[in-house]
Amino acid sequence: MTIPTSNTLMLTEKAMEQDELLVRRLKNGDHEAFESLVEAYRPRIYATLYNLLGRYQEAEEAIWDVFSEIWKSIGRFKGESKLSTWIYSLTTHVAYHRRRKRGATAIPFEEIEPNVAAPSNLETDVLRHEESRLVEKGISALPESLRVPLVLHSIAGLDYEEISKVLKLPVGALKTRVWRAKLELKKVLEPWMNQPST
Amino acid sequence: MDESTLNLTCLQVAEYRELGKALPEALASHWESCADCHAVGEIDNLLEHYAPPKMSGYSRERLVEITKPKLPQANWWRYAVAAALACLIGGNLYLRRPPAFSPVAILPQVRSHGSISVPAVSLPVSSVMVAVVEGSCVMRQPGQSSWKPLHPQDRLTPESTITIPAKGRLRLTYPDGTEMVLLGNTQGTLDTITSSADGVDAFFLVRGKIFVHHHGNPLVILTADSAIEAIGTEFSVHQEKSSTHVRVFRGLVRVKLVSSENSAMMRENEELRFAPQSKLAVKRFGVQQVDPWEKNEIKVSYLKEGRMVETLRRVPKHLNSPHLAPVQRLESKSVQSLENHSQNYNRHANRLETKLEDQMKNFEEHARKQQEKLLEEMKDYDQSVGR
Repeated sequence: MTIPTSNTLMLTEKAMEQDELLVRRLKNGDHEAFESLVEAYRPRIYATLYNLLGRYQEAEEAIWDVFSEIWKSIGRFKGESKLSTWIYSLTTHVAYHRRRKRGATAIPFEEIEPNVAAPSNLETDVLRHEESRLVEKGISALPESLRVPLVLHSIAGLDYEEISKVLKLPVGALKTRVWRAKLELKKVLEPWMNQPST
Repeated sequence: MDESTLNLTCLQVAEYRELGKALPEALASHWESCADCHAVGEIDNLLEHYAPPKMSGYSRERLVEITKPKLPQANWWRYAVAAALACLIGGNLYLRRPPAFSPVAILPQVRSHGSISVPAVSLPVSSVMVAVVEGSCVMRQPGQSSWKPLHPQDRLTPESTITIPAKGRLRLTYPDGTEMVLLGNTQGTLDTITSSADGVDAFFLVRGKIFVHHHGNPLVILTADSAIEAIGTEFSVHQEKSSTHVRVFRGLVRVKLVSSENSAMMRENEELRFAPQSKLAVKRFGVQQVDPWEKNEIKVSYLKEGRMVETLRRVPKHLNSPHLAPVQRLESKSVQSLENHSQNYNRHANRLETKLEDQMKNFEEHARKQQEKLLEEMKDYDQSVGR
């Protein structure tokens, strides 16, 4: 366990103050605050949704559901958890809802769509990178109970405490699940890791 | 080594590596020999270089769309049927705009109020002002989900929803001088009624009780079941759970039921209690029955003036209330009242003194008579013995 230094404490306090201010502005219906929230959270929420849903088109639709839900429900946010925790619980809820609606538990390995809609060549190149494609494929092939903690931890960048609040699971169980998810991912990717992509 | 111990050690290794710390000797040896830990390490490296996908771009129009207040979709066929019926019957057609974004109540979207006719006026709703606030009265503006506290001199925008707490009270002033007092536990929305030609100020009473002192411009109080049109009047409307209670203290009020063509004209000192399907039977009420609070009066019975002022003094915030301005004037009378107490005492003492004097006089008189009687008896005795 890391002992927080005074600098990290100050940074945390500052971030919390900024969150509080942002929430207050959002509750007052401030459109600019909403836009800054979208700017700040859009990339990570999109990456999370993409890895949870496995289809970029669906993720692009789902992200607006998340932001719409944030705008409608911000009045119910009581500040008992971090804003990011609350936002990611909405995100996972939207993803679960979409997957349930779709009726499929996982997309077949070969059907995973690479994200080809990036606006610049550089980003396209990066996204077409073999490793990234393999990771995307592998994550989508994982069962939901392992995929969600792994995505929230390794892609959304949430710490275990936050994921515990989002998924309502104990921290120890989450650590085990993330570890198992990585092990499963390795097994899924094993045949592909030493072969060139088709 | 069993599986659980292996997992625990592997988890410890994973945690150390995640934090970027050097492994202790025991864990380092495990790391050297454990295939699973190596597999996880490889995945960690992959994830480290993994570039999360990016959106193809987002439109600000979509943001505007999300934050825009969403009006409930109008049922065009209901409007068409109502318009056709209005043409056939020959009445005016009133359409009520539903409250934006989060309606406080579901109302029929089409209202036909038949014979209620209102002259054309501009819409003064935007300049309704808060005159007096007591308690933590709050307001919610259209399209917003949060409530804001109300303060004196605040200006209310159309379609603002107002909520008065149990111990609160709010006085609104319209530009034409019309005053509306919202009593405790009341909720309502500032509104307008648009007819085929004009717009009229309206107040949609969801629950609770209001008192209206009306001047000039037309004003309609809407409840779920009725439209109550003020015609230069002073009246109160109490929206109860299943019925509405209207009392008129001055002028005229026309009540029109939404569910039927029934309407009734109410005059001074008349009251009407009705449910959606009931008949409109107007009754007279005695002036004595009027709640003095509805007329901003305090009525006191069988209580000495000085005692009343002493009672009010115990709750000084009441004396600061602008509603009790006349009572503050009463306070100056209280001094006289207290002086009256001493006057009363003096008068009482004087009365006692007089009574005592009278008793003394009576006693002296009685003593004198007794003395005279005794002297006469002594004389009679002397004569009998031949002295």
